[in-house]
Amino acid sequence: MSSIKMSFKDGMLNYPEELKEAFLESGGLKLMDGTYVSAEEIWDFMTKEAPRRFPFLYTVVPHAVFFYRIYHYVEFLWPIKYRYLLLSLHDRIVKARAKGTPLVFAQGGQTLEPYYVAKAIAIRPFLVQLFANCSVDGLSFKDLSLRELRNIEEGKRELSPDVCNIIGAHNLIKRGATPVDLVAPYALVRCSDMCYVVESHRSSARNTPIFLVDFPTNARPDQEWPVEYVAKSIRGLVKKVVEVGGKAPSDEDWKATIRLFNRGRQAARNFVWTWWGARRIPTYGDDLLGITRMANDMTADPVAVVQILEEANKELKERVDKNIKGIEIAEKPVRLFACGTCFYPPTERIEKAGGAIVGYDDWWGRILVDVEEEGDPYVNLAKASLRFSYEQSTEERAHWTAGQAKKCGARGMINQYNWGCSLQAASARMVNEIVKKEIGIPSLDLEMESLGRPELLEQYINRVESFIEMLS
Amino acid sequence: MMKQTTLSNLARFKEAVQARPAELAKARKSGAKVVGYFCSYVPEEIIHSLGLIPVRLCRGGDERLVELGARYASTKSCVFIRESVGLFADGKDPWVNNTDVVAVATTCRQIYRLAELIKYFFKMPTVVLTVPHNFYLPEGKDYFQRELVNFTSELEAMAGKKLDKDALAESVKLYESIRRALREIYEFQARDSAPLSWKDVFYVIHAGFYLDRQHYLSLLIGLLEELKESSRTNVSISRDKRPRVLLSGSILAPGDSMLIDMIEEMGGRIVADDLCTGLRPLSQIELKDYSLAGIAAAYRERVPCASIPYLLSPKTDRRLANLAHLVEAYNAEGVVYHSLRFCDPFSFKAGETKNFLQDKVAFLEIHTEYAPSAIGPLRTRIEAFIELIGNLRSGKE
Amino acid sequence: MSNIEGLFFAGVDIGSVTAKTVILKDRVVVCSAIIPTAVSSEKSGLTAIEKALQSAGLSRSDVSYIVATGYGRIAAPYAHKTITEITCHAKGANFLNPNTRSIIDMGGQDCKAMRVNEEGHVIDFVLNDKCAAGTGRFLEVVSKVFELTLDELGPLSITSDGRVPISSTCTVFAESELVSLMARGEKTENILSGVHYAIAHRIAGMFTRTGVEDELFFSGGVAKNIGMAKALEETVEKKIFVPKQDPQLVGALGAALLAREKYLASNG
Repeated sequence: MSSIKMSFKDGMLNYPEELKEAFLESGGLKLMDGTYVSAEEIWDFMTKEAPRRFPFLYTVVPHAVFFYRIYHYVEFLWPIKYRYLLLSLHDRIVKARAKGTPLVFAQGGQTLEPYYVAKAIAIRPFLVQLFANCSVDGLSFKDLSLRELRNIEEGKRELSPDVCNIIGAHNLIKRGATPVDLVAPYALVRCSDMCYVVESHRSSARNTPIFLVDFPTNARPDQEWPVEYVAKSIRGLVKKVVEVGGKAPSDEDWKATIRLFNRGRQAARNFVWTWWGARRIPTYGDDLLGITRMANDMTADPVAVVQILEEANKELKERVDKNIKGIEIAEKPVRLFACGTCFYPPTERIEKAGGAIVGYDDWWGRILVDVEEEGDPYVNLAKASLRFSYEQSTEERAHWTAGQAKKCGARGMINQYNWGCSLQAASARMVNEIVKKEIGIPSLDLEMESLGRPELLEQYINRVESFIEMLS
Repeated sequence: MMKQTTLSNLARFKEAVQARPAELAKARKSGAKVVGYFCSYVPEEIIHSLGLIPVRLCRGGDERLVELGARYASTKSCVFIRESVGLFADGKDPWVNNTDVVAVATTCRQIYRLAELIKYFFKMPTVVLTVPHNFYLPEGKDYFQRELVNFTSELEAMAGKKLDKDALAESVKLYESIRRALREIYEFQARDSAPLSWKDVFYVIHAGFYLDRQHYLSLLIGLLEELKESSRTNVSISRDKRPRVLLSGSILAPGDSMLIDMIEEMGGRIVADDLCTGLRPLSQIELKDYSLAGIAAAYRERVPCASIPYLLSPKTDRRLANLAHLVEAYNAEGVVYHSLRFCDPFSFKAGETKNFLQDKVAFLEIHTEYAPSAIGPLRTRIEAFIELIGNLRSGKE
Repeated sequence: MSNIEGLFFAGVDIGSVTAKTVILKDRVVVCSAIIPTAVSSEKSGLTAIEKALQSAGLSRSDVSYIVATGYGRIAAPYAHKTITEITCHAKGANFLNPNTRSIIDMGGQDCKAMRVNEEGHVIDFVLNDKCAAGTGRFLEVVSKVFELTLDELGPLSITSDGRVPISSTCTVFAESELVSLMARGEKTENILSGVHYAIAHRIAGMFTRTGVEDELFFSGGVAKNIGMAKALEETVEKKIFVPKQDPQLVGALGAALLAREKYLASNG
């Protein structure tokens, strides 16, 4: 499919009529609950209902940073389905909860099999925020950013101005804006704030049940007791999920869930490798991010996500075979590798300035690790999680990052972290130095400023553009 | 009103600490190895029983070192971590210069970063003891014990010998005696007519970070005897009427005295604390079983640090319960709850702690960051708090 | 006991922008003064006292006890005692309105929130002296952007027919946000309304730690701004009390009352 320009009317973008036929031909989505959404229904939702309910996504806002924004061109059909999943998340979760499915909070950086196997829906901070954003109709971008800011501010006032922006998701849970039944993330090594933020629920009025899957800080690959520990923790997690309304999983349930997730990871890996192998950059950077993201957070429906991932592979392969370039990407862009957790880089600005994000270390590090399907699923999950790049020591992670940056031909690295993330900020220099030593590319440190406002600041844009200019 | 302590034994601690770096250097020349460690969850007993020399590395209050350390870590790291990295970058600290290997307990994950940074940038060998977050669950208990076994084997490799049951028992008994003596000394400073101040005792506890532990115990016994003697012979000490303050919060490392000095300057009197460089590691620890398992259990059962999350109800939170107990046992009229800049666990829990203690005692939340320039705002807050306590007192009378 | 009714007491509040003084005869205000603080806070404190005394035909020897408060109290050797402005504000507010249970003092460079009991004793407080948001300084910046005087801001803001929300929490960024709102064609009074509510929002945040109770006493130079008082009342959802007397003098008044108390305690 070549690039088709979005229609633009009254400041709003929309999918053009000429795209409809091809979209209908691509078929609908089978959902996790067994229902089927037809391509027709998806099209109507995305062109009629969603622009009315969620105008913030369809309005052109310069400097906006939220990766699921709609671009000026449509180049693939699968992102429409992905955005459908995102914008229908709220309604789907409400429907599922009405049927008794519990909603559980997980964090970035971990896998979600234990939640889904117990017939719960797991959502991460980004999706917690998305649910709240979509619970009110007609929000403009400005309305949306104000609500998000006020929410984070409220959360920070309760704990500390130095808490990571993740507090936004937790505050929504405490306020009941997103109806989470259990807060039960993994206490991953990459994050220190998370544990205390989870702990703070015990003093909130809502008093949501909480649980931490603990993680050893310094696990070496040859040690079995960290694996045992994490496995036991995950067992406790599944028990807890069942307690709040999930279903105790059978061996078959485990096998099926792990297999499904592995399928999704494989599809994402294939997509990224195909993308890396292309002679010209085939998509917007956000699409690359979207794929790895989907395979990680499953957008509240792993069945639909895996289907989309496999369709995406087909579409990408076609494009790469025909050597088609992403229409808004430069011919020879400055290739950048994005390093860091819990953020998304401002790809639109980067692309406008002649750059392109060609790889991400965070979500990618997890997609590379499959979970064994045979044997004790708890042990297998523990083993897999302990192999994620962000769960290794910083030195080991830096070596791995250098390797990946080299694989995708990056000329520079953007090292980004949130305000208040003391752990990632403290590892930045070490990682940058090791990457420089091993593959000779420079890094730019970017701090996502306080309150994580979705609009870029001049200082941020200046740094990134200067970096790109420096590398051209 | 400052009281001049005339206890001759106190001076002995200071002399001994001053002489210690030279002693360590000499011992190292003869082949001894020094394990410099961060965090009170590192079981010194194990280090000691292997013939290694434990030294607790702990310094604060130096702006210059903070800035230096931030170049390797980040300006957003906890200020104590920044200074600790700065100590290694600077290369002038006598304790760091006499350390052969650094041991850390990852109660707080920023301490783990510290270990990674000094290993990478300053080539310092490190040994890491992971402290689980789910301490109160059975699997957490097992995990900590297993980690201790691993920690021990790494130390054994360094010491060139295996852990000996009897040597361990001897070390454990020594440390139990030290803690017992310290607890007794601590009680003296809290009296209405106290022969020594809380600050004196705080200094005595810190001397224990550096000195040979056997020598330290003898100094403690000497001090205790002098204290008991002075109370027996009725040396008259006037009743101390200053407002009684309980100090809680982040680590207050040697060298970071701005807050303590200010409380005193504004007419307050610290009578109790739950700091990891003060009373906390000494409280509620009792080793009945002299094995690794016994040590694991005892360290786990101590009053916990805020950096270990507790996911059950605040009503069963032992850290909070300990604070409430201290308020009562030491007749505190006000709590100064202090957190260091970017010390997340203590900062985040300030509000909750305040709500927990609200009905029992006046509460002041203070933040510091090793910045002498911030002394003005600190003075205003402490002074106002002391005034507040004074007024509440007169309201009650 | 000496005849207290004939005795004079002085309170001087030396801030970083202004030095204020109040002279009491027993418990009655006789005179007061406000002057800009010069480089020497010691001189400023003395000058303020002298100015007030002169206006009442008194001299320093007539004053039995002086209490100094505020940032400049550390350089006030002429004072018999120094007490923090937190304690002094509570005292002054309680005197002017015995129903006071919370206080918000918005000064030129800092902002204080206090809880007090019925005796006028502080039971809790929180300070903001690190950041301009929520202080008089922010309003100064705003007045410059719109080329208005400080006195015009409040009255203009309450004529607003559609408040424009301000999202920046930092004064530096807020300034550029205001400029772009003006460029977008938003009405001045609507932007100003947004500014006042944004400040009130920050203040409300300060009370999260201490809790806030009726009646809420509003003191400090910014209390003269009716737009601010209205925004505060609505945001904090508590009954606001602005003293009829100059709200800038509350600290100095409290200091003078405490001077009287200290004198009685040592001489009675």
